[in-house]
Parts: sequence; C-alpha cells; structure tokens
Amino acid sequence: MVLLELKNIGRRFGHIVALKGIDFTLEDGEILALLGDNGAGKSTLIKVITGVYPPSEGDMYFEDEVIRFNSPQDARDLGIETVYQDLALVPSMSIARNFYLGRELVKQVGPFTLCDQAAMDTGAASALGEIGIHIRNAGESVARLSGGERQSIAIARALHFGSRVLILDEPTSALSVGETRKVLGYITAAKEKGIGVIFITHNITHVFEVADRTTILSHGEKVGDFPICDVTQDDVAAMVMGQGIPEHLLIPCPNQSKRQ
Amino acid sequence: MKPYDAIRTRLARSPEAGAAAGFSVIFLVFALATPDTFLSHSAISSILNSQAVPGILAIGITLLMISGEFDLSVGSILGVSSLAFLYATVNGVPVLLAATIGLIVGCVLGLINGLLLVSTGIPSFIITLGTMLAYRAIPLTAISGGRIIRYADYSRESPVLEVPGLLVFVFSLALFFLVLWTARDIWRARNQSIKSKILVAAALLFVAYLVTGALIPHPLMSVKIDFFDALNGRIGTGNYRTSILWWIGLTSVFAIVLSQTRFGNAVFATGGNAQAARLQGIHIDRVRVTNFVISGFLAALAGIIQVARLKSVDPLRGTGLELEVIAAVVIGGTLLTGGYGSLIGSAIGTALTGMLRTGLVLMHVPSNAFRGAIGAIMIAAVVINNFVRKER
Repeated sequence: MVLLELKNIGRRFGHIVALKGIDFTLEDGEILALLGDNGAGKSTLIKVITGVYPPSEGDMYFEDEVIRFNSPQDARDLGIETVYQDLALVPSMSIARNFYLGRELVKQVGPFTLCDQAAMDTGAASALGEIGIHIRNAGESVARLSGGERQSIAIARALHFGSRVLILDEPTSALSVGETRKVLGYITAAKEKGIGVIFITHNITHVFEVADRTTILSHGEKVGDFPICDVTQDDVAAMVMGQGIPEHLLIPCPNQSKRQ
Repeated sequence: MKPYDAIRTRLARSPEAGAAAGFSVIFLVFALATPDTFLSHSAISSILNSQAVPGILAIGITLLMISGEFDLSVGSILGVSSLAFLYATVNGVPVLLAATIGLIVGCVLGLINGLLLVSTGIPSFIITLGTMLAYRAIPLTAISGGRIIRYADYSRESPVLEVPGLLVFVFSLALFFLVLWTARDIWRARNQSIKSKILVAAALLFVAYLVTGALIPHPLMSVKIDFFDALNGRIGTGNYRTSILWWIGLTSVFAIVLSQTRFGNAVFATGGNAQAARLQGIHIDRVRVTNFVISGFLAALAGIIQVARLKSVDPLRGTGLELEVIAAVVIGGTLLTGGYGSLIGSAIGTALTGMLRTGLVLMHVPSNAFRGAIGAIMIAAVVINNFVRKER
C-alpha cells in the first residue's frame, strides 16, 4: 500500500529553485534510500514532507488523501517522525525523560497533574528492550551514552510512538562500525513492523545492505527511482555524482517491479 | 567502581550536592571560629531574614538559567514594583489591590523582556542589560531628587486586611478538602515509601489542626490581618520573620513544578537542547516568555515583601541585587549554559552568601572583603561543578 505520495512537487526560495517536478512514493514496510550529492535537494524534500516548508507547487497524499501541512506538528500527528543526527536528544536529561519528552506520562495528585516518573522509567526501559536495546538505568543522563546508543534511543522513540513513516537523516554518519550495524538492524526492525522508512545517507554500502529502493536527486530534480536489485553500487555512485542514468539501465528491465 | 568514584557519581547526579557540601564546610569554619556569636539566634535569624528577598529572586533566575536565559533586570523590576505598590498604598488604594498592581507591573516588565527576546532573537544578556537600565529610569524619574517615599509619612497605622468570616470559612474548608484530595491520591499511589506516607499523615493532621483552630472557636467571625506583618513580620516574639516562610514555601512550590511537571521538563529541555525540544513539539518560545513573566512576578513579590519590612522605597531600591543573586544561583550548581540546575541548590547558594556576609563580620573581617570572598567561592563552585559534571 502506498503510504506517502508526492506529485510534481516544486519548491522555490525567491529565484532559487530548490526542487522541481519531484514525484515521490513511499510504501509501508519499505526502506527507501534518498540519495544525492550535497545541495541536491534531499534536505528540502524532507522538510517538505515533515511540514517545515510548504511546497511551492504540487500535491501531497497520505494514504490517498490530500494533505497540507501548516506546521511540523501536523506531520507528526499523521505519524511522520524524523530522527535527526545531532538534534534528536537533550544530553543533560535522562533517557526516560528524553524518551517521553513532550509526551510525558502523567498522574493526578489531587487537583495537580504531575509527571509519573516511575511509569516513564519502566515504560522507556521496556520499549527499548522490545527492539533489543538494553539500558542499565533509564534515569541515566544521555550525555554519558555513545553516539550509537543515542541514535538507537531516538529511533526507538519514533517507533514506540506509532510512527507510520520514519525519516532518518544520516543516522550512521557519526557512528563506529559496530554501532552502525545495530542502527541498520533497528531500521530493518522498523520495516518489519510495516513502517515506511526514508533513509538519507552518503554511504552507498549501507544502502545496499538494507534498502529496497532508492530515489536519487541531482540539482533539485529527480534522476530516477530504482529497485536496489536492478542497480550496482557503481551505477548509484555515478548518478549521485550527476553523471546521469547509466546506459544499461535505460533498457526496460523485466523485473522492474518492486522487490518483496 | 571505587568508592571515590561512586561518591563522585552520586554528587554529580544532584546539582545541589556541591553547594550543600560547601555550605557545610563554611558553616563549620564559622561555627568553630566564632561559636558564641555565629551559633546564636540573632546571627542565624539575621542571615535568613536578609536572604529571603534574594532567595525569592533566585527562584526566577534559576528557572530562566535552566531554560538557557539570563535576567539582569530583576533588581530594576523589584524597584519599579516596590514603588508601584507603595505609591498606590499611600494614595489610598486598598492594600490588597495595591499589591496586585505591584505584581502586575512585575509581570508586565517580565513579559516585555520575554517578548523582546523571542521577537528579536538577541541574547537575553543584552536585552535584560538594556531593560535593567531602562526600568531603573522609572523610579529615578518618578521619585525626584533622590527622595525616599516613607509609609510613615502618610499613615501611622499599618494597613489592615479585613477578611469576612464567610470567606475565611470557605477558604479553610476549600484548603481542607484540597489537602484531603491530594493526600488520598498520594496515599493510593503505587510504590510509595513509608516516609512519604508519614509525611502525608503529618500534613493532614496539621491542616486538621489549623482548620479546627480557625473555625471552631470563632465560627464565621471576620479576621483582621496586618498586611505588613503577614508578609514580613516577626514570627511570634523571636527575630525570625515571615519572609523566611515565603522564601521556603515558594522554593518548595517551584521545586515541585520544576522537577515533577511537564512544564518543568520543558524548561530543562529548552535549555539543554532547544532544537531537539522544538522537534519534540515543545513550544520553546512560550517556555522562555513564561519564565520571564515568572521572574518578573517573583521580583515584584520580593519587592513588596521587602517594602513590608522597610516601609519605604528609594529610587535605587534593588540596584546590584541581580549580580548577587546570579552568583548565589551559580554557587547552587545551576549551569549558566542551561539545561541543568536546581532550586534547592539556589536556596542553599543564597543562604551561603548570606552566611558568608554575616560570618565575616563576626570574624571582624572588613565588610568589603565579602565581595572578594563571594567571587572566589563562585569561581571555585564552577570549577568543582565542572569536575563532577563529567561523571554525570
């Protein structure tokens, strides 16, 4: 089922055309790698999808219904969650407080509404445990965690709060090899829960490890959509670098349908 | 883990631990150096009485600093609000209304700070430096020629607040049920310690005692409250003043707000990582403006409490207070960079600066050396806090 569909999306900033005629789809249970060189328009496209910038032209559909976002909150309400590389967590706060930030569990004490810290500690620990992250203590400050642990918590949080579309902005760029493995594991886990994942990265190897499909942007326009099984790493690298579509891909391919 | 590391980790988890340790050491030094004078009721009450006003200001400064902002204008807001309150009172405005006017003035001046911050994006240090000077111009121009407005020049009697008996009755009853309701929920809560249950029982008994004491002997009789004594009068016949109770009460209320509510969480998040907080749906500008209004309100309240004792206002009231309060908050373990701090720490820091001032006088150290001592202790506190914070 198609979760998210963009038709002929354009975005201008004054005279500068950041995006032009972008068609884009995302299905549930699909990992889509969004690729492109710096300045290709990846970030702008993500900001259109997450409601940060309204598109200058074109239509967006979520589960076949037209959507128009006035703020990032509108996108969140539909279950479009984004995990930013550095901006995800508040280092000085505990794991549990970060996990429930803005969505704190509360209890009534007389007429007062107070945070239920005990419920948040156990809730965060069990939600993290569900996707295989075992933490020592939910009250521990995030400042003491490694980059991979932080990224995992941000992903787990997005998964826990019923996200339908998970957008990961360069989730592995600052991680060690071992941590990258784990984070890629969580991305696969999200796919298995039926979530549509948009995965932005510069690392083509990671794309080939987990992604089903790739959408490649160059200079604000879409180069193309390719199932991963139909392309090689060299093809993708060439297209990311703006060398156009390699000739052998222009021949219609019998297994053009999406890999399952 | 080595015991030394364990202690360090424990210390690092509570921002106020460093201040509490420093407080204990300095207390011991003074107690040993001048045991007869320092450990007397007159010395201790003088420390607490003088620190109640900066202590109340410190609450607002701490909230702001945790959310990553700064307020240099509290001393000026205190001056303007004190003037508004006393000016209204001596001109025949009922005292409760005059106090409300003073508090509203404080809130509005705080609101101006906050709106300037979120609309211009200029650092709050610069904005409140500007409003500190601008707000100070109000009493300087309104009270011409360095005059002092004295309550005694207008009236011989303290303003009295007469509360109708029915209102006392309704208020006591409402308070009684509020405590009962809260106590029931705390009692029922899961995994509560015996300690908190005993606290609840004690609070219940206390309120029952107050209500029976207030209602049964004089049912529906009106009560006369001396307004100045209620805010800052002597407790009983001792030297301790009611302003200490206001300081402790307000600190407790805001400590609960900061550590137990969603708003408190938003304050920590805004100061810790504003972008992450915003992406999680927290209205960071609203948090900042609210904190500036709270800070303005508390500055006004502290000013009115101070007027209740001094019974006068001069144009320079509150000048220089902001720096002393900021020093106390920093000594209390709150980070200037935001995201980390504690109101209990600020209260300890405020008490520490007051203790230092009185203690040095008792040791016959020239009073001007006090500033040097505060400066040295503040820098030492930051160095120590940075050291333990690595283990947080």
